[in-house]
Amino acid sequence: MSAREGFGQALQPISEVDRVVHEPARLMVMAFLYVVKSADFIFLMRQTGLTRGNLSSHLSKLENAGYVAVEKKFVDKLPRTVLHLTDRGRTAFQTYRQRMIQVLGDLPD
Amino acid sequence: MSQEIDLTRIERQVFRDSYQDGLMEILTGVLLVAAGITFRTAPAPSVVLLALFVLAPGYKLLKKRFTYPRTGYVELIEEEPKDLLRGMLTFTLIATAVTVLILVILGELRDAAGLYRWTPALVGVVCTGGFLYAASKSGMARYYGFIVVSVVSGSAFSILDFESWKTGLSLHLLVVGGLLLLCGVVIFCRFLRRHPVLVEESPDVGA
Repeated sequence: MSAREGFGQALQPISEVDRVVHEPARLMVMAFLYVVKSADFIFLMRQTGLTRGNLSSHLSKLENAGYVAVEKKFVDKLPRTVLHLTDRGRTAFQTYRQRMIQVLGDLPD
Repeated sequence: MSQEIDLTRIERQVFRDSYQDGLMEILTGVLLVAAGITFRTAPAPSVVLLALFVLAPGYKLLKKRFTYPRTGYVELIEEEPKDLLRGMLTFTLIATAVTVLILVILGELRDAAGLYRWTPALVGVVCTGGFLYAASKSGMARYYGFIVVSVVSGSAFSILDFESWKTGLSLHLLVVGGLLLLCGVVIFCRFLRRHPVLVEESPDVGA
């Protein structure tokens, strides 16, 4: 096996990275949802610094991938969108972390 | 990229953000002041009942009324009650053992009267467990300040050697509780001033 092939094999896990999670804004959203049970739209917007439209669009992608569950309700006549990571989302986030640590951790300084 | 995802830091940020309203300080302060006032007159379970049936529901109500409309709603992952209880008991045992050992070395525990006299200091040290937990979860410096106050106040009211050890303990609870209450009210007022109410315009997600 040539050096190039060996190196390519070592970086193989990068090509298997989940692109839905890999996008920085979505990764940030998933990281915040990973450490809590649930949070609403406003909380996520404040924590991530994303705009309403931007966060909304990323959440839709995460919802479509089955990583985030969305519950819409009214509290004191005001709308509240509560979000939490699904089991699938938690697994996807853990797998992503492990994969990136595995790849980047092996690289020389 | 993932190597830079520091989940502990994110967890701390979320914890700090959800406790930035000062309501926890107010709640703990009220509890300690109530314990300090009723310590000599009412049976101890009355404070536990006050915490369970008045303060806990009141806390949730205040959070819902004042905090969530300003910061958004978040439900933190709670630790298993079993683990929490085990941690509290372990800390209490270690803190008690260390305090007693120090007092024995200092020659302050020659008889039962000595043990009673140093009860405020012992309670002061045991109380630091809660503050240590909050400090480790949030990384906020003010909890270390409360640790110092709790130990200094407990020791001071032990050294002052009142006629009854109960007086020292009552005063210690009132001082620490009063300080927490005062800090909590100041933090809460500042929180209300700095954070306007945010109304969620119905986002497209989940539609």
